[in-house]
Amino acid sequence: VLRIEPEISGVSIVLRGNFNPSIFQPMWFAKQGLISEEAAAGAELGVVHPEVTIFKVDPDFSFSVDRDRLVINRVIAPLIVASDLICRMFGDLLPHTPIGQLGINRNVHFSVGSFEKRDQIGQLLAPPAPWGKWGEGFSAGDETKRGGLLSMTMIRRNLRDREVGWIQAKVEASNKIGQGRTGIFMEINDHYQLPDPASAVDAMVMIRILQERFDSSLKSSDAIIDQIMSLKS
Amino acid sequence: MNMPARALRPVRLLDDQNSGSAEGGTAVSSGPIGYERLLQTFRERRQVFDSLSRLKGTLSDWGEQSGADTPLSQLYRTILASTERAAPVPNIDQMIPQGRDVTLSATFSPIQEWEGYVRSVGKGHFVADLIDLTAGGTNVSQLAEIPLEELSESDAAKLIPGSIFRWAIGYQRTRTGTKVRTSQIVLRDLPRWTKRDLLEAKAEAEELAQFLKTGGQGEEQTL
Repeated sequence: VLRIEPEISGVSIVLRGNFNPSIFQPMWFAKQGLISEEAAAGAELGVVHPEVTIFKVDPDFSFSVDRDRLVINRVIAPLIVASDLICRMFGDLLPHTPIGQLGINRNVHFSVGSFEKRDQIGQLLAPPAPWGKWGEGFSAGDETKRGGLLSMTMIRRNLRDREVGWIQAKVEASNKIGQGRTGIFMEINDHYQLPDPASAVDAMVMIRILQERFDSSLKSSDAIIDQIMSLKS
Repeated sequence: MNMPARALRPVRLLDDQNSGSAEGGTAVSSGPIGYERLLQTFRERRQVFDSLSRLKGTLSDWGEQSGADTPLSQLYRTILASTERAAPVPNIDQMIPQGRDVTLSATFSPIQEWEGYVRSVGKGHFVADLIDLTAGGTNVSQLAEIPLEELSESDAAKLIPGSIFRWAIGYQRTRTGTKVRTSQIVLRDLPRWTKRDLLEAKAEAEELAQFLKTGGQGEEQTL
C-alpha cells in the first residue's frame, strides 16, 4: 500500500499495432459481452469516426483508438478490470490484430501537504546547484514566481524479464490537485515490445504478457512511486 | 517543483493525465499522452495531409503548364500519384463537441484488495476463498461469506461456483473532493482457454511431472 493515499489513482494500458477504430463502439462492446447494454447506452461519445473513436463509460473506463494506437484508462479499483477488458478483446475476439508494443502505465496524483514540501522534494530530485548562477534564481520570489523542477523522467533498460523494453518513471508537479500547488504527479511506463514491433502478426504475445504481468507491474510501479513519496518525510 | 496551474482548455477530452509537459515518455507511455497526444497526433497528420493537398495542387498546375514528357515531369507525375493515394485525414478539432467535459468523474484508490474464488452461491450471499493481494499473497488465506448485494446486478446474475472476482476496499473521491469509504467487487472476465493454451499447460505439467520423477537429474542419470 502506498504511504500517501493518492487523490487520483489509475492505470492506462496502451497498445501499438494496427486497429480499425470504426468497430470499437460502445454497442460493439455490449454485443460482445464486454460491458452491459445499460453501460453502453449510457456511454458518452467523444468521437466516432473511421480514423478515431473516443468514448467513456463513466466511472468504469475511458477508451480511445486510432489506426495505430489504443488506450484504455481506469481510475477505479480494482484496476485489473482494464486488463481483463483488453485481454478479452484481443485474446478472444480479435486475436489476429497485429500488436507489437504494450505499455502498462500506472499514474497517481498525490498531495505532499504544502508548497514548501513539494519544493523541497523537487530540489532533492534536481538540486539547483549544478545550474550555477541561473539556478540560484529558482527559489526567488513568491509562489507565482518560483521556478525549479517542472518534469523529470528516469529510465531503466537493463531488465531481466524482457528482451526489449524499459521502465520509465516520470515526476511532475500536479496541476490537477491542490490547486496546482501541493501535488505531485507520477507516471510509471512499464514498456514491452517485440524485437521488431512492425513484424507483429497477431496479438497473442503482448496479451499474454499483459495477462501474466499486470498485477506485478502495478506492484513494482507502486514501489517506485512509494520511494518518491518517502521523500516527504 | 513550482509549476503554475495550467489554464483550462475549452475542450478536455478524457484527459486523465497530468499533461504538464509538452512531450515526453515513450511511444507507449500515456504520458501527457493519452488523449492529449492522440489529438496532437491527429493535428500533425492533418497538417501533413494539408501540405500534401497543397503539393498536389502545385504539381497539377505545373504538369498542365509543362506538358512535356521529360524525366523531370515523369518524376513529378510519380509524386503526384503518391499524393493522390494519401488517405484523407479528418480535422479532429471540428469533430470534437466544443466545451464538452468527459473526464472520468471519480477515482477509487484501494487500501486492501483480494482475489476471490466462489465456492457456493446461496440465496442472499455467496461463499468464497480469498487471496490477500495487498499482503502479496498467492495462496488462499481466508474464507468469506459475502452478501450478493455487494455485486452489481449484472455481476450477481452471472455469479456461479468457480467464478473469480476482485474485491477492493478503499476510498472513493469525486472530482469535487468528496471522500467516501467504498467496497467494490467485480467479476473477472477472463479470456477463454484455447486449445493451444490447454496443450501448452499439458506440456508444462508433463515437464514438471518428469522433473519431480527424476529429481531434476534427467532419466538417463537415475538408477
